Amino acid sequence: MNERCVRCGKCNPVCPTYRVSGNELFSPRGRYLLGERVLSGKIPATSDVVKSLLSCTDCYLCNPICPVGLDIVEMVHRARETFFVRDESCSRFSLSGFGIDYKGEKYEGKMSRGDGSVLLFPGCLVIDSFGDTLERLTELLACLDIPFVIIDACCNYPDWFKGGKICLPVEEETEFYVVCSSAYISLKKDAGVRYFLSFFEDVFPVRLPDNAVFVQEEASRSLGLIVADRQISSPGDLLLIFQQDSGMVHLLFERLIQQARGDVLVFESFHNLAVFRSLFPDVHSYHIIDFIHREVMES
Amino acid sequence: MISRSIKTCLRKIFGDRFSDETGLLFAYSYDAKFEGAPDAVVFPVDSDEVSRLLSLATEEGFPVIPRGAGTGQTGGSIPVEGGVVLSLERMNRILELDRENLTLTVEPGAITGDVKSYVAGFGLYYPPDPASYEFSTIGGNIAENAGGIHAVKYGVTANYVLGLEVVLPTGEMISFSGKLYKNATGYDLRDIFIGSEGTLGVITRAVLKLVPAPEAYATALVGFPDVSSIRRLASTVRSLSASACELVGKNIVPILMENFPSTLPPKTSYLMLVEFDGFGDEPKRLLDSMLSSFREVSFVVARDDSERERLWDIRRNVSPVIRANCTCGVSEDIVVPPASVPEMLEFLEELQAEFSVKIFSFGHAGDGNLHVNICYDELFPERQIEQLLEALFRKTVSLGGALSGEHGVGIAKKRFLDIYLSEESIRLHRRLKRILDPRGILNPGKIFDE
Ligand SMILES: Cc1cc2nc3c(=O)[nH]c(=O)nc-3n(C[C@H](O)[C@H](O)[C@H](O)COP(=O)(O)OP(=O)(O)OC[C@H]3O[C@@H](n4cnc5c(N)ncnc54)[C@H](O)[C@@H]3O)c2cc1C
Ligand code: SF4
Ligand code: SF4
Repeated sequence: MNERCVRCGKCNPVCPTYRVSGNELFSPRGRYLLGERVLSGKIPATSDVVKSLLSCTDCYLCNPICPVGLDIVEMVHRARETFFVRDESCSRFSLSGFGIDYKGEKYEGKMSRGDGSVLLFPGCLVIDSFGDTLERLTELLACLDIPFVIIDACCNYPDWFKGGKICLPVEEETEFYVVCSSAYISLKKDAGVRYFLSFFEDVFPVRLPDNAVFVQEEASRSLGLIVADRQISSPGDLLLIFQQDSGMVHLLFERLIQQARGDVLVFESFHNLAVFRSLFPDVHSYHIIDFIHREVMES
Repeated sequence: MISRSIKTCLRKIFGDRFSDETGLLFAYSYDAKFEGAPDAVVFPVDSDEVSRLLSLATEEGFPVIPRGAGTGQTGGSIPVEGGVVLSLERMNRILELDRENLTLTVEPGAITGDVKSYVAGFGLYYPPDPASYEFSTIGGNIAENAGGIHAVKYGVTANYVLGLEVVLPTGEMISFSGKLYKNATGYDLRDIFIGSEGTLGVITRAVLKLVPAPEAYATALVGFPDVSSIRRLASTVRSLSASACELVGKNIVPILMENFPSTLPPKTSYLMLVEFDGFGDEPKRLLDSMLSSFREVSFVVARDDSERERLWDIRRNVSPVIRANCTCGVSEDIVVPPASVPEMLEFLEELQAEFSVKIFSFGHAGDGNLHVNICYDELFPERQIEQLLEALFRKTVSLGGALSGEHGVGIAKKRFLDIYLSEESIRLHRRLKRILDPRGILNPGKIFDE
């Protein structure tokens, strides 16, 4: 591909590390351009360059924004490979090491399922930067009378990317649901780790097709990863959307929904349907899961 | 290069919000068009720190370059002779929404899109909308006097700035006008900072004017065969106070036709996207009255929100189309009196033929601001590009126009400045600059040479 970064800066404001740091060094545009130069040997991988490239949380939020269609995250990954240092130590709260102020309670012990409540692993970005998603999720669970416990810990994704060790926040074999798809990617090698999508199958009388993709507005921007994980050949044969009422959603999902040739399934608090329809007039069929009545409505 | 001792002083003021590391210096060495590396970058968090930095710079004589989001098209935030980049990204708080006075007080690093969506939550509207509003800052918008699609009805950034707090190059902090909608007390000094491209003072706080958010829209895509209709159409659109009047020029239309086969009006050489906004059925009434007075044009009217989005998608597709068809070229944003747009379009066709280049033009026909993208192959001689640009600017000025409608001069158009500004005017610019910035430390080398 001969497309080049036109340096428009459009990708910057959607990046959580840029939003928190207010520093171009921790922005997608900065990382893309630095990555290019690290790969071509024009800029040495000094400590702040390494910090810039490692602090990308791989949330994939930037990629769909780029008007040129660049794969920013892939550039970051390629550049990282030039200086990976394997680190077998088990550090938690990786984000705090990257200039992100992790405000969550430090999780020390290990969780076990105990009283039968659902163990939820939101992921530090969800807890720290996208509290809204978590709030909606817990409201939903409360509304359904499902007891839950939140595991307030980091998944070590950035460390894992450096070759570090993943430290499970739960006792071996304990089942827990991971909300953030990046976290899911990093934790999933272990038996008890389940992606939040399957939670819906457990709780609702619906059988999701194998190609279902769960998209939450803020936490799981790793659509690319999840798509890969579930081996969907064409992205978005079916999209599941959870919570989509901020202005951001239009930007984020526009492209994906355009690609969704099949059905679109909306997991939503229903008042947003009108908004949804106005944003995505071309989507013809909806399946809306009414959480409260546990019914599936179709249009 | 700034000296060791200066760096030590900066470290004292900014602590770990000072840096001169390799990666960071690179990250602050570009905007959307130009490149040039600083010697250091600082991230102040309040106006006091800005003031301390500028006093030091005036004392020691080193350049300071204010920077917002670095989305500028003319190199305004690029160091041309090294120095310290003053990033305003951390001063990004929304400070106060005053719903009685309809004002919003913000720090300069706030992203314009965040400001717009914040006030939208209260049914209010901050109209300025450069195409970069989702990723540029209020400070950068004020410093460039940015404008956008809705300028034809609502005006540009300057029309929404009530009060400013500015730190002068010498370090003095001055507030202008606050929440006043009118003020006839003393010189209106506030306005010299709007559009000053960060050369006269650093904006550290702004009071923005808000208006009620429109609730209804009426939108149509109008196609017409030749330039002759544009003049009448655009003037009718203006007299009815349309909120958008966007023109798409000849070379772009056929490609759009392919991309949106069934949506575009037939027999079209030029397209105009016209929108009215307001309340109740007024927008629709205005659109109907406009369309009824034109026979020679064909049009598509949006019947609902989704069709409206579709029409806007066509307009949004213009930049991608140009990008795909123009790998090498320059882009200008000239402005002429609105009634001269047709003559300008005709001239662009002549220019295209004379220099054997391809010109893609589009823009804000309603306010006379045209984006002119001149494309050529890589071997096209530099000298000819200069000749072409000079011819373009001379024609623009002869029509009563100016070099830039919204992007500013920066380093991009400095060499052509005297085509537009008289000698006396440039002298006055220099005098003003010297009064405010006696040692020439603030954003040197921009707009004009000192
Ligand atoms: C894709 C794209 C589309 C664009 N579309 C438009 C458009 O439609 N209309 C338009 O007008 N522009 C447009 N622009 C240009 C650019 O976005 C605007 O000029 C914008 O106002 C720059 O804001 P910024 O925050 O990025 O400022 P920067 O690029 O960082 O700085 C721009 C200038 O402002 C000065 N400055 C920044 N902050 C301050 C401050 N607080 N105090 C004093 N000086 C300061 C800088 O020194 C510099 O001279 C576009 C750019 C891109 C990349
Ligand atoms: S993947 Fe996420 S964290 Fe990384 S650059 Fe993109 S938006 Fe930023
Ligand atoms: S959006 Fe794409 S082209 Fe624009 S700065 Fe980001 S990576 Fe570069």
